[in-house]
Amino acid sequence: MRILVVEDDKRTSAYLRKGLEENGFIVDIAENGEDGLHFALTEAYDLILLDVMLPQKDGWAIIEEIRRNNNDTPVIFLTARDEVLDRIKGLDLGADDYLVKPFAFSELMARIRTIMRRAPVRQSDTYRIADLEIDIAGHKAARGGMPLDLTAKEFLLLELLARRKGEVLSKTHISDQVWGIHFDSDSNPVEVAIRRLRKKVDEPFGVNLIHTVRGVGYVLEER
Amino acid sequence: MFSKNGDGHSSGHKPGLQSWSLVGRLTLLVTLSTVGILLVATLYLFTSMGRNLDRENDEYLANEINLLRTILIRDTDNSETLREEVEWEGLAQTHLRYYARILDDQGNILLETPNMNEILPVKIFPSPVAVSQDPREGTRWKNGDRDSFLLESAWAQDSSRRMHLIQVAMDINRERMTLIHIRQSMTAVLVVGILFSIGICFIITRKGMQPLSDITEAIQKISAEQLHERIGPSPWPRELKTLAEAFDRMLDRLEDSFEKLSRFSADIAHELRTPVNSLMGTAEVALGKERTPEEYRQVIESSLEEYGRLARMIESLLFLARAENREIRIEKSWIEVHREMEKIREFYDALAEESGVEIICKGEARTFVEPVLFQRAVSNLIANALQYTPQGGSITLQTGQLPDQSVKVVVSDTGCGIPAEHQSRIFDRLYRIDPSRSPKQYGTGLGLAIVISIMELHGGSVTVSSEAGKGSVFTLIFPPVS
Repeated sequence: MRILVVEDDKRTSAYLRKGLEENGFIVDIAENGEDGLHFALTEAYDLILLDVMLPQKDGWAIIEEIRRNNNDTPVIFLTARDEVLDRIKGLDLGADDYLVKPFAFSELMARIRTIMRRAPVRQSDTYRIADLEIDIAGHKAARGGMPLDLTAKEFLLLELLARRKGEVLSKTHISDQVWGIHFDSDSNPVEVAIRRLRKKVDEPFGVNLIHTVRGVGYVLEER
Repeated sequence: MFSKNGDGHSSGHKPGLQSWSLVGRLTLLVTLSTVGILLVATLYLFTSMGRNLDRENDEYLANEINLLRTILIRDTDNSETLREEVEWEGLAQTHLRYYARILDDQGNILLETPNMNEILPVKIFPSPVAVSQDPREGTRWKNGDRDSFLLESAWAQDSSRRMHLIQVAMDINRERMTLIHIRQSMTAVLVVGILFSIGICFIITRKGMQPLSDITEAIQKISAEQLHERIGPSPWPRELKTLAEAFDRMLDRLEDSFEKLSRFSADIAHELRTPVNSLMGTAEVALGKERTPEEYRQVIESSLEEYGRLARMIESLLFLARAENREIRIEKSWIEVHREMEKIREFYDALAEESGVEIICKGEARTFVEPVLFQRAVSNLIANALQYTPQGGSITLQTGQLPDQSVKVVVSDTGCGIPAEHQSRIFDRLYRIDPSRSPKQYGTGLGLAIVISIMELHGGSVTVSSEAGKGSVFTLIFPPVS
């Protein structure tokens, strides 16, 4: 998987390169608009991360040029500008997503994964992580053969974590997916909900499956 | 020069009356009207005086003709009376010289005032009026360019029915001179009067406008550094009093906003300084000596939490700034208020349960709002209520349609309440009732300010009532769909 990062801030591009490479991507960096456009048109990428404010040629111009060349490589805008109109403009010009700085790296990874698996995800009916078993259709969960007594929201939360196994989910994302709360709150409620879920899923069994990535979010995986 | 932009001179087109000074304008207008009145008055006086004199003269001549006619018809033989009348009447008058002449129907002079023929020959007289007619107005005649006369002639009959021609004349030089004299003095009076009225008017208006200069001076003293200055209640004239009061009220509001703004800036600096300081310190200490990976991890993790808080705070501040400048476009849709409330209740349920607080939803309503902002406003109120409601308390969410079709959402708690002196300020940004409470524990301090902004974006309102020890009630009103 190759990703082109067009970003003039060296610190930002450096951490993006590091993070993306550690997640198994091959990364090219362009530090100005002209180079970015040149790379985008001459090399084959699976995804382009595009800053809007760039020297020489801005992000809007680059994506227009790319799309005019019938190149439909997915593009995610990364920008400090978050006026609603900018968002709409970006998406109108053919961007696939729009992320406002400062954003969490985990959020970026989630968006990238979403775009990469645009093809319908195979929704499985049951998930199995270590000795944890989740039966989506039957709305049941069990660990080590012992049924877990979960509330509706707790079950939804566990299902979300299981479906995205190994992926760190931010509190904002969780409150959006589980409770339909769409804004970035200070999100204490998510912490409490996770704590309660742990009490039922992890504590009685000795081995923890739900992990906190401090300052980032939560992940369900076997460690 | 640039500061004079408003006076019209620099704008290129001819300055109109609008751009004159008030004193100049008033002086000009009052002077014009004074001149007008004086002119009309003197003209009227002058012409009516002239007309009166003319009428008197005409009457005098007509009387003389009638007198002569009477003498003639009564007694032709008594020519002594006639002679006396004709030859001496003119000499008897001291200030107007009068001439009379009587001719027979052949045009021979029978009698005349001495010297009359040399000054007023027979042929210069107008054609005479018939015997039966009354005399007309006299005819003016000028002897070269020396003397002016008023002439009249009339037929008369004597007792034996013989026709006589009467010619009378009077010297009106003196009157003409008098009139000219009067005209001159009136013109002089007029000119002096106009000059005086300009001067007096200028002085009066200047004096009358003095408070305006005073008020300008008072206003000029007020700068951004001295916003506490006021024009004050000094005894202004009634017209300026309203202006002064309005200006002072505007200053009050300005000063208030100004103060809020500078306090806000200071607070932001403080709010940012604390986390940045702790981030710097933590990193510095961590790098001070060799540590285990676990320790490094902890430093990075705690930093990340702090960054997240900073990022949220920036987002909130931007939101407030945009909402204030009306830069946020909201896309409304219909929501079932009770469903949204239920969603929010579920979100906060676990947290509330942990702190031993119950959240209760009541009522039903539908309203037309931006759904995410609605969630945000209600959530902020609940988060706020949770901070102040002790164990065993409850938070009630109640909604309902009001008679005017607006929708209210009431968030009430059984917490400690808000002391009266803080109630007006809790919606200010970063305002904290107890400044010693650390922001980490209690959010960014922008929650209620955001609630107000959201309500303003919807054209709605938020009010709070609270009783210490009994709890607080926040009421959101969403206006009806127009």
